[in-house]
Amino acid sequence: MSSPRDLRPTLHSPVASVLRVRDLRKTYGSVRAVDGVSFAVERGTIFSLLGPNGAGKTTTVEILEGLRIPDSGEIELFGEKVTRVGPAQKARLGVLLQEGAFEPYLQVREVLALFSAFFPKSRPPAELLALVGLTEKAKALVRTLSGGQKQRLALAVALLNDPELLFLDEPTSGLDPQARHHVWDILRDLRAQGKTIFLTTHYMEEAEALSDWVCIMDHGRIIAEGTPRDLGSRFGPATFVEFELPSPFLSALSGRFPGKIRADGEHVLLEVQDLTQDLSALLSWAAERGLSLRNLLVRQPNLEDVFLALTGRRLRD
Amino acid sequence: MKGVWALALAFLRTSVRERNALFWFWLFPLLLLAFLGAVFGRAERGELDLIVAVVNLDSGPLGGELQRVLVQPGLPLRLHPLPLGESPEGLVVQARRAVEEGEVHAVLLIPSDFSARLLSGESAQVEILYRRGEAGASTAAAILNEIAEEFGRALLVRAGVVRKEVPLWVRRVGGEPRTVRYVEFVLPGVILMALLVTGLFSVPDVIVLAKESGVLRRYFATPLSGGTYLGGCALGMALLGAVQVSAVWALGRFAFDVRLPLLRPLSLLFLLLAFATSLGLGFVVSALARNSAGAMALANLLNLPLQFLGGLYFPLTGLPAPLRILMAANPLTHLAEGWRASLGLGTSAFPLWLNLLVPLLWLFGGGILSLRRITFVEGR
Repeated sequence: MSSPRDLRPTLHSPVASVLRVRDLRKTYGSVRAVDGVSFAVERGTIFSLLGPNGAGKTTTVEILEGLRIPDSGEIELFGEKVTRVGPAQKARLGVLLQEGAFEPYLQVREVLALFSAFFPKSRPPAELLALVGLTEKAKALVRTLSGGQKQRLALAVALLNDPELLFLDEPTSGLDPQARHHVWDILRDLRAQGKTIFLTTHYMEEAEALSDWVCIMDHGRIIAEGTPRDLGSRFGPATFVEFELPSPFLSALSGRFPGKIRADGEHVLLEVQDLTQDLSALLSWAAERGLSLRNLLVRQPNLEDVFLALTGRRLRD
Repeated sequence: MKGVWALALAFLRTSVRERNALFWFWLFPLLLLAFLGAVFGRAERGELDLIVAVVNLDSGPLGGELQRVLVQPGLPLRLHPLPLGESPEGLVVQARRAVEEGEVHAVLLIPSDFSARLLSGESAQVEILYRRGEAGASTAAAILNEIAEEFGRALLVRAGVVRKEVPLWVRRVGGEPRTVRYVEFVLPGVILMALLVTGLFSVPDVIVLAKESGVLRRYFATPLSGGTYLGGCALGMALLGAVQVSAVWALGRFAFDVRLPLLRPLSLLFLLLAFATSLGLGFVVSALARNSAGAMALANLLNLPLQFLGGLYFPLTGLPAPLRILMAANPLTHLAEGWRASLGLGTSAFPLWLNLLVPLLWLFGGGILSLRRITFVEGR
């Protein structure tokens, strides 16, 4: 496995980039929340910024949304270099905040009417409510909405000004699987319409399913970036075998496959280079001991594995 | 501008739909006036301190003598100085203005031939200017009248200036006196209370709570500017204030037959200043408080002394010296005094300019503090 330091942020072609960031920095006291971050987001793509809590991704995104002022660095948004994101840029941005909220005593349709007044142009509220499946809740007070409904309202507000670039921070948080897939469809449609989406998410499968480009951030820095497939291939021809094994047998298995095993309770993840040979060896080892490898699963490396390998932590830690 | 209007509308909708806001901002002022009016509606308001001015156009000695009699110990009169260096006509105009604007209860006008006529044994006439239909003014005018007559009858004889009593005629200028009912006195106080509570509590409630809950963070991720946001808050409060004033006025008019000339220019000026001062105090609390609990604590800390040392519900007389200083520094005191005087509900203990200046100082001080300290998004 290659070291995280082997990967350097790659700035894409400036012509196609809707957003380019160079050496962005933000410090709070002695804490370097954002420590020289550089990346580029190409028009018409879905870009994902991944990182554990405290990695600095929210600060980065909030600088790009115009909610925070960077200490230094260069931001090029819609082809224009800016020291901070101001009203002219915000009019072309759509934002869904992780910790954003709406006035609890306003109706859903009133929230959309209120936000339309902040933009020079806006889409019809009824169209957006239909898009996110909230038409029946148009007259409901925000305080009566469920968490998932509030999240869909936040998405509707983010789309209100027909933005060229959408910042979505945990857009499917709190949604049931069906609603989550519905949002994914909306995002794919937006990409097909040429919109650019900047996504931060805790859901690896979401990043994998949607992203054209992924940046992984930790301790204020970008430690890896690439397409999900490229990042997964950094493990070479490795394959992962997952199963459940009673804990007392774990040390014996580790002796059989040194350095290739990660365990979380009874859940075991085995990284193998030659699937046929290693899987056969594993099954023989279990048979010799009369063990049943419950919930056996063979899969390719995913972003979660990349993330774990690079940061030593799971995304939700 | 559409952002300002949309925010003001949101402010109003929230204040109608949220139970606490509905009670405190909409119903409480009406309940308070209904209670005070029902219990004390017919009571009269006491008056202990009478302010008078003298326009002495007499070039002889007796005008000055009469003037000196007014400041004798034991009389409940306080002399209010009029500007120096005015022409006689100018002094009379100033005196009339002071009466009309409630700066003084009454003015004694001593004519230029006052000494000459009395010393030659003829009768002389003074004028007493006072305001129509105001109890304190009528009392002051009656006292001035009594003093002038006594001066004419006895003092001159006793001083040996003339050998016989000279009748001194007094011509009163003004209407028949009437008493001010307590409900008339308290109605402007209730309106001021409603405006104060709205500014002091609802503005921080909107701004600080919205900041805390992430509502402002969401607003300012759009092109919305801080000025537009504050403008929306101010317009929303102005609309709420207009409804409050109208509702309290209507209750007073139809339930207690209180007829106040609210639309007089000076009355409107005080109303506008009261609204602006309350709004400014709300912005100060929003700027200084770190969270909604702190905002409510600070608002309460200001609310209680401002209300109860502002003379909103009863006249503030006989207070100990330290409280008198607080009272004099309180913008509500001056708003209440100045506004009541402009409505014909008594005479202010302070000159008009001071009643305008003190709230303006609070307004500008609060405005500067707010602009320097207020933030809409944490940790920028």
